[in-house]
Amino acid sequence: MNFVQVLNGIALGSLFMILSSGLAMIYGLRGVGNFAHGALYMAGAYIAYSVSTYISFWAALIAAPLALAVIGVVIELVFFRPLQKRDHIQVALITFGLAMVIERTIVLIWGADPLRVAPPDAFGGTISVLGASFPTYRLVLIGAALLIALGLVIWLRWTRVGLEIRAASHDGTTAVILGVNVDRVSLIVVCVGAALAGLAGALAGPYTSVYPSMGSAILISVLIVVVIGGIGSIAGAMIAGMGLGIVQTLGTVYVPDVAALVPYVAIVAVLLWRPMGLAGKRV
Amino acid sequence: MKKLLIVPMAALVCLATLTSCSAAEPEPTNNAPSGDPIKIGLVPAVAGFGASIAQNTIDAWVYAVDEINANGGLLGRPVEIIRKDSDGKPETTLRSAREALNEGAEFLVGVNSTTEVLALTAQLPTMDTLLMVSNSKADALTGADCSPDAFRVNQSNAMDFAAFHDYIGELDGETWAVQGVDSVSGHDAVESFRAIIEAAGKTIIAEQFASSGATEFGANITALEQSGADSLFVVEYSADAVSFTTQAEQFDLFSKFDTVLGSNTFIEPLFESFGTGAVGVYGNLGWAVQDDNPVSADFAENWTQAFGSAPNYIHADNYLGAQTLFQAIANAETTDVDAVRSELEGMTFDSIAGEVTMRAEDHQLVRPSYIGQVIEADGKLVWDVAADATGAETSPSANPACKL
Repeated sequence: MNFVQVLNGIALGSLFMILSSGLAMIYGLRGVGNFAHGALYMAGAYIAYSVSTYISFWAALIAAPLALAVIGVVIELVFFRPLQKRDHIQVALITFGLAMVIERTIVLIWGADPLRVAPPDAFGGTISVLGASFPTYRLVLIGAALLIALGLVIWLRWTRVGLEIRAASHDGTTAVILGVNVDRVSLIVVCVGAALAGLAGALAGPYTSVYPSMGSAILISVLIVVVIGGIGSIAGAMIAGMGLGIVQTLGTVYVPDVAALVPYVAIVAVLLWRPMGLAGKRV
Repeated sequence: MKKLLIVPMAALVCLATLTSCSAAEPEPTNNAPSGDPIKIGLVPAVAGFGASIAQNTIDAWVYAVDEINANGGLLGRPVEIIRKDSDGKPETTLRSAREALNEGAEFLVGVNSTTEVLALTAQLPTMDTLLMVSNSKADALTGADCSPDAFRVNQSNAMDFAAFHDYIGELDGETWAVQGVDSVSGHDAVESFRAIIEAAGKTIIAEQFASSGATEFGANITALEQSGADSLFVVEYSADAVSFTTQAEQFDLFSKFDTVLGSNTFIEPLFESFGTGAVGVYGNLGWAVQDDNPVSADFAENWTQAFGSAPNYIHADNYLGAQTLFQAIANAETTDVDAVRSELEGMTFDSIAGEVTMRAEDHQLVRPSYIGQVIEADGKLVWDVAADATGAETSPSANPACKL
């Protein structure tokens, strides 16, 4: 097994992990497939590009998630909450339209040219890992994703808000009866989910580049991750995201002719084996 | 009495107003075009994968139309652009093209990708129009998929590679790795490269293709590093080219090869996005200013004055498309599609690319091509022209696969 390729897969999986956990949170609580998630990721990348250019990369890591959290507030209050009694397909279609509006707005502001985001100097170049040369920034991305995952797990498992989120995701009606303010919890979840998308975009800029179709390019993979992980399961999405990243990368190396089919084969295989996804309905 | 005066007074006021309005209109100059406008349907893909070149395309056509209108128009008539944007999907492009034609456009221009062009050419017989292709590289457009209603002014992949043919022997590198985009153009380019490499006695020892719009190239880059090749050939377009180059720089990939050569990969509109990652790479260059050609030099100078920077090859190719179309209409003395088509076939004229000919057998403009190396000058990336090839060298004969 080519160790550097496994590391490449872990880097890609790290990006999937951050993005998919936000999407899984929103789906788990709201029951809505947020087709605007890719556009939120793209918005985070572009905001981070501008903040990086004029202030610093570190400021961008704070500004992008905060900005996207604000957008999350708007999405929750303007779309999700008023439409919560509507059919979920209708709401999902609305998020699809929202994605197109966000993407077009971004192009109107920043233009259609791909943009380059340089990582901080300390994260440039390569580093030796077990004798192999590997880009430093990719290791930083992996580390950041693991920290974010750990933070999410601690937040969901050991805080009161996390308990309420899990309760509301599992059974919203009972949660309300037990005194959980589901509207407040939903607002928090959508904000955090959008912020995670923004943070993923900010981290992705130096990793890939920033370009107008970056959101739609990754959205299908992230949706597949959420389904494989178990719809509504954040832990499942994290594990599936990392797994898909590794499998997809190794597929590019060992079965290049059919590598593009790997995500779709994976989703069919997992659903045939475990129809509820890897983690079932566990949050 | 007062009422008797109101009507004639009102009439006098109206007459005075009308007279003063006519007097305020400027006298038409001898140069100002007049009459029904000649409408051209501009269908750029402003969204989607190739959107980064759309503005270049639009700027060039608007510039060409403004220029010709300032010089008396075409056949004494003003030229007007009817712009209908597309998102790069063939069905949208078809719809936009039809909308432009419904609004009176007589010719279609500015279409971006090969996929869109092929979708359009299949419908052209029902549209009573001609399509000027200025951006699409696939050989098939003037080969097996040629159309009697479509004319290409930019070089095909084969023409670019014909320019490489003699120069490849001067580049360092005996064993080559190839990174290509998994598309018609990408595979065309790799096959053309294979032919010239083998003719030069060199070999391709590794090749791989990535889907258009790929997020991550790490696996490809690591495979290229580990291939053992001493040189690299890259065919990635637009955002893929930037993503690949950005990630290649993370791995310091290019420094591991004697030569890095790109086909329509390292393009001027993206130089700022490449940063220093592209310094030292070689690539094909569709257009360069010909200092001994007044038409070329004037175009470069006037464009620079208008836009504050030199024109790139996309600007040049689309402006050349406009020159070609306008010349044919002027020669035909009509905008009748059949007459313009007849004029285009075999037309030779002086252009910004020198003397060029629209070959009748395959509707390909025969023109020179260039090889360049990306260098840094005054803090910016620019092309340093390393070699050129004439039209006779880039396209000595018509594509035999084209049956018009």
